[in-house]
Amino acid sequence: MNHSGAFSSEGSEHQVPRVHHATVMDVGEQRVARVYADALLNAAGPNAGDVMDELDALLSQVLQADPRLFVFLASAAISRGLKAKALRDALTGRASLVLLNFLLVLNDHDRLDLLRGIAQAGREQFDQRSGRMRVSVRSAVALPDDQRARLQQELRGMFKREPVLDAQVDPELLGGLVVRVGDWVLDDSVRTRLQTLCKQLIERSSYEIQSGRDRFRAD
Amino acid sequence: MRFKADEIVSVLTREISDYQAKLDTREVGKVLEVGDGIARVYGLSDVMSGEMVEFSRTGVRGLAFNLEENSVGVIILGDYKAITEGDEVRSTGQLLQVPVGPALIGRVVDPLGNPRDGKGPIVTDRFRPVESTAPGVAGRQPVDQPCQTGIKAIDAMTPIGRGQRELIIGDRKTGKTAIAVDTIINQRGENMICVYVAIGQKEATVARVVESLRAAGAMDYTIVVTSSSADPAPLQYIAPYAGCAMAEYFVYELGGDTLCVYDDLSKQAAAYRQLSLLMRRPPGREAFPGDIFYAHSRLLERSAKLAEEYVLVPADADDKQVGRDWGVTNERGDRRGPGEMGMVYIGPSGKENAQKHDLPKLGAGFKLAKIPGTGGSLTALPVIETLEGEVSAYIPTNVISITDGQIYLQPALGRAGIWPAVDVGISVSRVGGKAQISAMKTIAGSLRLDLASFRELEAFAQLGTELDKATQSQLDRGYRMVEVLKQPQFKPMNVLDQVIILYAGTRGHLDKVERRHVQKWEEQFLRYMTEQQPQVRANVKDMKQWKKDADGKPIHEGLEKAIAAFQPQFKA
Repeated sequence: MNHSGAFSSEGSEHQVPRVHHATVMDVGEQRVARVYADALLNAAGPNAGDVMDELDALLSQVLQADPRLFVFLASAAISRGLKAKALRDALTGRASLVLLNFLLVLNDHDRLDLLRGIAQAGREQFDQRSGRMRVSVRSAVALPDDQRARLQQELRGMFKREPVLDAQVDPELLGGLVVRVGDWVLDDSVRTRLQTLCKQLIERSSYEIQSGRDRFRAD
Repeated sequence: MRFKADEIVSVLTREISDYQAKLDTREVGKVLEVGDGIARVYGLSDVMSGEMVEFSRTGVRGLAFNLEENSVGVIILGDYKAITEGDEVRSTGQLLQVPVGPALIGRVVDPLGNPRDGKGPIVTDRFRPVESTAPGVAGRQPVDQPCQTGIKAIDAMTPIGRGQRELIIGDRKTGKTAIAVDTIINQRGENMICVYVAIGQKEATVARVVESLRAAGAMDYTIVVTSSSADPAPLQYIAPYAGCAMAEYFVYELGGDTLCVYDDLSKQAAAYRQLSLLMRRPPGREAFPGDIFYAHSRLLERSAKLAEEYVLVPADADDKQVGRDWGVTNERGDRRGPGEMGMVYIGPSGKENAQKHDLPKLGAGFKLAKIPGTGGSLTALPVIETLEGEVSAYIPTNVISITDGQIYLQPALGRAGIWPAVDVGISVSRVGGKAQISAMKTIAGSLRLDLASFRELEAFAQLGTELDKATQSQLDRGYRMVEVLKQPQFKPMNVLDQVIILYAGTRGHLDKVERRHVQKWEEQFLRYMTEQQPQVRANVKDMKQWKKDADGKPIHEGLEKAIAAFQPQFKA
């Protein structure tokens, strides 16, 4: 029963999973995801890094490739037994025991729909536990290795944590770097400098003109 | 006008060569949702409550209002329609502040200090935080100087002192703004800076007020802060705090006297209610948030008469230059030794101590000097609009309890042709009496009671009963006093004139004048006094001229003679 054409063409073929957008979030969901992520890291113990990599791979390679799989796992209409069997069949021998057990626990609690949130929260928790931090670096041109190493050293000194660089090239910056650590942005790009200078010039000249109009008068 | 290009180039060149590139460090967040003047922002984990934030793309300012577990509620001080989901928000590390200084005088600005009058940018390098704490007990002194409104009914019976908070309350169309505007107009030559804050009013109304202030020459010492009903609620909410900050500059940094009119706080409360509900703060009575009382009390608490500070200095010191470090006495009042701090005497008790004890100890060659820039005052005239005279609604009772008195305006009085429609029976001023000039205090002492008994008699007389002669004369006197207290708008009156005409009324010199001629008599008599008896007029202030008559009522011989001389000249 679809009335709108634009909607029906997408909706009827296969159910699109809920959009996960950086600005759409559910506080309650995040809170639960953090609890499960914590539990997973504790269970994995020293292998936490490997398990997290595995979970990321599962999400990015399998579930991302065919969104219907995620719908299958997240759906409440499909019985737990069926899902458990599918998980065992698919992952036994292919994934670590910890991850498989974790997925089965999630299944028992009907929390498989939180998988993406758990992976993200797990990544953050893991970084925090291992004294690392994600740093996003944008630069106008690709950073040569020596500069990269210098930047890492600087950041290590500033934040006392091991930086993991995620480098991107953004020609719009014109030059320089924009480094982002959590909520902090260190902006030393040519674009921002030019913008600041432009603003200052306008402010300064209007101040000068207002404070002494006669100075600028020719006649 | 042609510009000198080389002069402009030199300014720009200097600016460019002096430009120091600083690493731009900022804390950022992302807009999750936006609407109706508020935004919910993810990130900004170190932001302070009340900190100013900036929406990077549009340059609009905001104020961190709600700090929650996962997001920050921001009120947007500007155009929120251009802000979209996902926009970057950056913290500024500063509390919200507004430009202040003499450059604002005569201007019409919005609550952020941006010009609204089309007279070009406001050039000032001084800023003050919009929210600042009120002075404490030690920083204040009792109200003792009058702030004349120029309105007879108010200056006589509910006098206002500098540093007082007097509420103007009444229904719509009862002349609340008229009283406030007249008071501003009457401050001409009184060395008072006035700030008129219009909150949630029609732009047309604000334009009319500005025009009448300009026409009366009052814009020479007035700042108008306006956030009309078309402005988003956040701007209406911060307007009174911003206006107060602009006045505080003159109080704290120049030691001046200021008057702030908040017109009106009921609209500000409504704007705050809107914000709070959108922010999902729990609603209380009349759906106002729980801290609505605090919103008003912290604003009105900022009005104060600051304590004057004094130091003992050598007699040849220049009074205008005296500083806190000039004091020649120490803690005990003796001469201070090398390396010791001088003593600063604070407030009236400090002054008395210095004059009576410490100054004589030092001997001749010293004097007591007031430190310039101390002892400023901020008088507040908040306005509240009631619905159908309902003073027991939430906001009116709150503000009545915060202020030092209220001027209550009755629509019924206005309908009966009595303007200003001040109900003198229930209007009070809790501290202003001290600030009244002595002559006015002498004359107006019994006025309120006389009027009250007149009102009672008047109601009785309407029953149509036969009245004895004494009662009839009391009624006649009352009718004439009511006429005397009438006053047209934009005609504030000098306090000496007020004393003179009230004297004539209370002494019964108007009893023989027909009721409809009383105002004409007043006008002619005051002109006569100014033009032909200026000496007597000036003497009214001098308390030595005042005596008591046989009934114990105050009598002024000079005035009696002047009235006797004028009576035959009166032309109806």
